[in-house]
Amino acid sequence: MNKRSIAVVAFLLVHVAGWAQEKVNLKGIVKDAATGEALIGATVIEQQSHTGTSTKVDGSFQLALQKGQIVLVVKYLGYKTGMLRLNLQTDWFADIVLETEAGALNEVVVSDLKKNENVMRSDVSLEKLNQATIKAMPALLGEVDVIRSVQMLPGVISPGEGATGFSVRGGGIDQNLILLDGAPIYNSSHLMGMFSVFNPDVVKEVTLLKGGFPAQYGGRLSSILDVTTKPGDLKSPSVSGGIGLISARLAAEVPFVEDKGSVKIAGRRTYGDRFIKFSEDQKPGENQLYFYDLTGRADYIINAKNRLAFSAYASTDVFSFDEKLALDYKNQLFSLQYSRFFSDNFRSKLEAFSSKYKYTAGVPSGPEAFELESDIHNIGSNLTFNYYAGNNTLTFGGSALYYKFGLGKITPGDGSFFIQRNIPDRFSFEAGAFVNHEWNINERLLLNYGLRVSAYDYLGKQTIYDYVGETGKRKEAVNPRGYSKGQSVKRYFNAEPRVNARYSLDDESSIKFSYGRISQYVHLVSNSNASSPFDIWLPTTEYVKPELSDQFVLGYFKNLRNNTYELGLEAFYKKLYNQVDYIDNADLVLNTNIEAELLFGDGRSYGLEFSGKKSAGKLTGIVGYTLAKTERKIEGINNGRYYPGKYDKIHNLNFMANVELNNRWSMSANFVYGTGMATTLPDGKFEWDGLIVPVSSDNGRNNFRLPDNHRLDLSATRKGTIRPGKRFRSEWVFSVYNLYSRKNAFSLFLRQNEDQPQKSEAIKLSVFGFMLPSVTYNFKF
Amino acid sequence: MKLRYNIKLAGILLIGAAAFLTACEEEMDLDLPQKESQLVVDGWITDQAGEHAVTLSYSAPFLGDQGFTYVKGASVTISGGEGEPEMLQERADGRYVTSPQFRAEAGTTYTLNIKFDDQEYEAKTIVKRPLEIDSLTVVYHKKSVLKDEGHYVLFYGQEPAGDIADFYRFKVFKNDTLMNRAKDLVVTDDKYVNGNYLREVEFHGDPFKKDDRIRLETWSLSEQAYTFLREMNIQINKGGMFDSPYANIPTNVVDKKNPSNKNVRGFFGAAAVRTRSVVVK
Repeated sequence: MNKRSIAVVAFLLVHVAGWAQEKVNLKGIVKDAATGEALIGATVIEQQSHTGTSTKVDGSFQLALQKGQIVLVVKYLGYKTGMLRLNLQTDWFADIVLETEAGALNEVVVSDLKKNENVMRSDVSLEKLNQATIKAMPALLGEVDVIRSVQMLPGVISPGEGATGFSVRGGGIDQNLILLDGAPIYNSSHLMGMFSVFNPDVVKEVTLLKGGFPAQYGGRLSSILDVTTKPGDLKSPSVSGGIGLISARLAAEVPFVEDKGSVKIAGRRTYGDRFIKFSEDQKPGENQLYFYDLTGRADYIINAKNRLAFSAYASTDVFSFDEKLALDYKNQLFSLQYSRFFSDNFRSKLEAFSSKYKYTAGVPSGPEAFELESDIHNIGSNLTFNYYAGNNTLTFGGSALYYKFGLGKITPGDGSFFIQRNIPDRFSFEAGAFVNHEWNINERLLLNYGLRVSAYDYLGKQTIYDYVGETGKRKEAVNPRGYSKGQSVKRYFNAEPRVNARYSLDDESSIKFSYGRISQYVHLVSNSNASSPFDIWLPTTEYVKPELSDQFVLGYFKNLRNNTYELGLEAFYKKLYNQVDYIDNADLVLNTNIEAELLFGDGRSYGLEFSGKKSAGKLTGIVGYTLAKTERKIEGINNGRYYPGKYDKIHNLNFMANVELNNRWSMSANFVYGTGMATTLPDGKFEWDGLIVPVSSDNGRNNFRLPDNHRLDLSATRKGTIRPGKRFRSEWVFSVYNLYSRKNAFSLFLRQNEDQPQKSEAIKLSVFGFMLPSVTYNFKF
Repeated sequence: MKLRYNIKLAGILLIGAAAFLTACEEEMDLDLPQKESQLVVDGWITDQAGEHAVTLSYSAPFLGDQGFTYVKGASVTISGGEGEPEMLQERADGRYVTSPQFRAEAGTTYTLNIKFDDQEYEAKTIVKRPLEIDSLTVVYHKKSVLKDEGHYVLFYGQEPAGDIADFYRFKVFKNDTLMNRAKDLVVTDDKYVNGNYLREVEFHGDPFKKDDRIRLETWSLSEQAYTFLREMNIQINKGGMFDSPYANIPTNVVDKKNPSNKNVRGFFGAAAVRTRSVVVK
């Protein structure tokens, strides 16, 4: 497969080399970073061509430049010099923000999006959030949270208050590839799902791809959530931090070689447990409940053509009670990125990463002492080349991933009556090669097409079984066969064609079409309404087939009032194959033959997504409305008929707005409304040995709806006084989560009343069903 | 032994703790009519002397005031082991009882046969080896995150060795009343403890007071009975954040005339029972 891909690449390279260069317009605006005020008379010079100009009274400028790599240098007296590298292919708009000399940031903050980028790019179903937008949203308990912000985007559904992850267009939470500086994260939550693992202080930008995946992406069916951290300052050291209701944050950045190298390290820890007394006469250290995370990043610019970046991340959640119960879970990530610019129009990036997630649970001492541990370890590497020539961009490369799945091990403690028990580890290897060609056919038509080929090996050492029996019931494992270490048990290949096309109607509107196939070789085994940190990941095996999806998207994009308002309307249809589900009352903990508990089938998801965005001016905001349906058809569930998926929400409305009242005060609001999710409720009951047991006449799945959910959150930010010549910046953030104390249903369940055994009742469980105010103080110097 | 139980408990607990007690419950009015009524068999025989009962009833709508209805005039027999099939005598509310002399024997398979109207049902079960109780002790705990203040009973006993998988149910009686709320149901397998001496095994639940007389019963279960009770435990203890979807639990009762009839529920089980008592001092 590799050889064939290389041949295709070589052909395309020869083909595109002859395309001619031509001039395009670069327009832009230069503003003060702190105040947003236009800077008049700033010099703007393109270094390669020595073309220059100065900004007009409204801070704007315009340059006619050759297509290709440009380096734009922007200078203004009393401000730090800004620099922007850009591969300029079409008319472009650059929003340039300069910091005063005294400011903490010296790197120019550049919005590298052309103002009509959303209309002109070939990507569909792409959403971006920057740190400022994420931080502006009202936060639960004052904790600014990346995944909670992502849940506000059109087409994205929260699995429930306080539940881990998110669902994109009806997909499972394990169908999102969550990347932190290129390394995949296998459990994105803190505190069992309340918060996500990202420290908001280091996040630069969050990109969510819901469809129209370019060929370099693979591995998950429903979305790619790419979280990148901000490099440290190259000029001067700085410290920033914050104190909130439940946690404190501190970050420091230091340039170790001026203009060339910097390091940044950021940490946060919750301290709520220090103040909470779980019992009357609690001894110190008797009960623990906290998390911390550390994010580090080092950047080094070797020279104009070579750059290195290294990122590391570690998080730990700890729960322990009465010295009788101890649980913890940890993420550990490393990634290294090396970028090389061979020439102005040819560059490459090499990434290598390691990602490990591990949990332990157990009883620390006594005759029942034991420790249960399980982990997943993934190492991998990606190599990507970009070649630009005239109206063409060629992207090609490959990836390799190795996985170890630790499905569970029990170790008895000293003097314990438990016995040692190990579920055999599993291993797999995944490789991908891709080529993608973006072709500006003419002024109106932009075509982006490519192919990804993935190959997968389920590896020994392993004993495999045949699973026999009635589908829908627990199967029997028979006919064990052994495979030796490194031996391929089963191999799969998948060809994944991708195509995106954009046809522009005018400068401010376009129609786009996309089709893509994508494969997924790892599966999160979770049969609960919220995923818990103790859910395990399972590889594709000889029995568990790779998940596949085909997605079609048709979109209309229109900007209004000089690109101040961005509107998008997308229709999508997604068909999913080899989806994993579970038999009734599946036994998924420490099970060597976990395959016996699994069921397989297909899914489909379709709908309309509307989004409106205003990203400039004093009032900014995003509104998203989704009308969608998600269904599954699994033999052995719901009598083999289609049933609503777990994340089936017919209507979903998200609204967020931020208004700058003056230089000091700004306010934000979030509002969500959605149809209740589908749930399963039995209709009958019987009495057995004095206990009331629910029973369903037809064993239907997801046959009932939770009540509609809605919620309003508000926040207000007050910036501290900026003293001339001082670097110190500070702000107070006041927020109120769930302003009108809506008790949204997390789940519905049926039970026998404990005090009146004769009474049976239906109970609504809600999480954060009341107003939660909070205050946070942030600083930077 | 209670490994699974502990892990589950951990899950429930963490939600309470991790969400800083942010979850709340509220009763709801739902319209949940029952589509079809189901025949339910509830029967246990043990190796102890006494009247063993099989109750035949019909399921009722989960919500609302409609009570259960019972099967009257059925012919119920239990056969197995040596001797003649045991004919059960009908009592009130669908209860059919054996003679007081009837005792099941360990290692024997028993068949329950039910006939009424034109219908005939059958269930088979086996009596497995008992779990002997060495001793019971009482321990006092102060109030903590995991427990209320009070006295708790600890179990000591040898789990039988060998390749045979064993399954148990523990029943706790306070002053001769069975602790029988959903959360009091404790079943386990010996997968993690096989052949070891079990000691200081504590039963979660409400604490006991001074002078309470506590009786513990160990019931040996067949694998099928264990699966039935394990899954029943899941179904009657919902309400956390990590619940799996509602699902019917398997039965060992078969409709003889229409084996594909799915409207039959419940279980007929047999157990070897061991008992020991202790008084809280």
